[in-house]
Amino acid sequence: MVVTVTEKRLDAKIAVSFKDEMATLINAGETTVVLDLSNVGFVDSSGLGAIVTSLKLIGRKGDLLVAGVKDDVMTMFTLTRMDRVFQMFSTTEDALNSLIAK
Amino acid sequence: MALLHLSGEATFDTVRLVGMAIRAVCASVASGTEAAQIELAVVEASNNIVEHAYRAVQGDITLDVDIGEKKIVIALHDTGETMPTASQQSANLDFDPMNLDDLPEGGMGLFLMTSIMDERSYVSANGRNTLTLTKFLHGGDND
Repeated sequence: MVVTVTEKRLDAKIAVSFKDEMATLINAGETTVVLDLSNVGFVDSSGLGAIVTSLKLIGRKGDLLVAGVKDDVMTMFTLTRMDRVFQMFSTTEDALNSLIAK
Repeated sequence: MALLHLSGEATFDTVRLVGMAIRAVCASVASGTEAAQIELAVVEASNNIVEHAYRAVQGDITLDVDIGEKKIVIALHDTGETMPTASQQSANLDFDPMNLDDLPEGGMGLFLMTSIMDERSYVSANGRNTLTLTKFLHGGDND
């Protein structure tokens, strides 16, 4: 399923509610998630941590793919080397296609 | 040289405004990428103040921003609890990307600050804590 973050900033203010919403989805059985960050212009370590928590919650049951990361936000992933943890795609379409190909 | 003074209640809403303001003024002398990185470093520092400096009490966060052609110096002040020297956070971020259990879910703020900024100092005096972050700018004829 594609989860599109509509907030422009995935930061400390909303990290907890983001985590909770993701947990609700994942616990309901959505274990293959494409996280669409194309609307997001800023991610801090709280936001990134919340994404990691979601990935851990999915665990071996599925996967969390990240799509649409803007250049400035990409810096966050590369600085922390989280770009080696998550499969990252330019668009949700690319992410979904990669799942079909499997 | 231009000096900007920002002040507000130490809340995540204030941090958002601070971040956006910092990014905008930094973009006037630095590249867009540098400005975004400085915003991130300042937001991380500000988040620490919101989360750790004031627990049961309210308090303010104030920033002095010195924008120069060769460097940007940002001082963050609070009158709350002092950050412990042996901080819970490490300046290192080592983990095995292949090991799910090993992935950090938090505590990355200090690492980001030290990766992005060139200098960092922290002093506590007379009930006031000051974190000073400096970024040397590149580009133009300054190199």
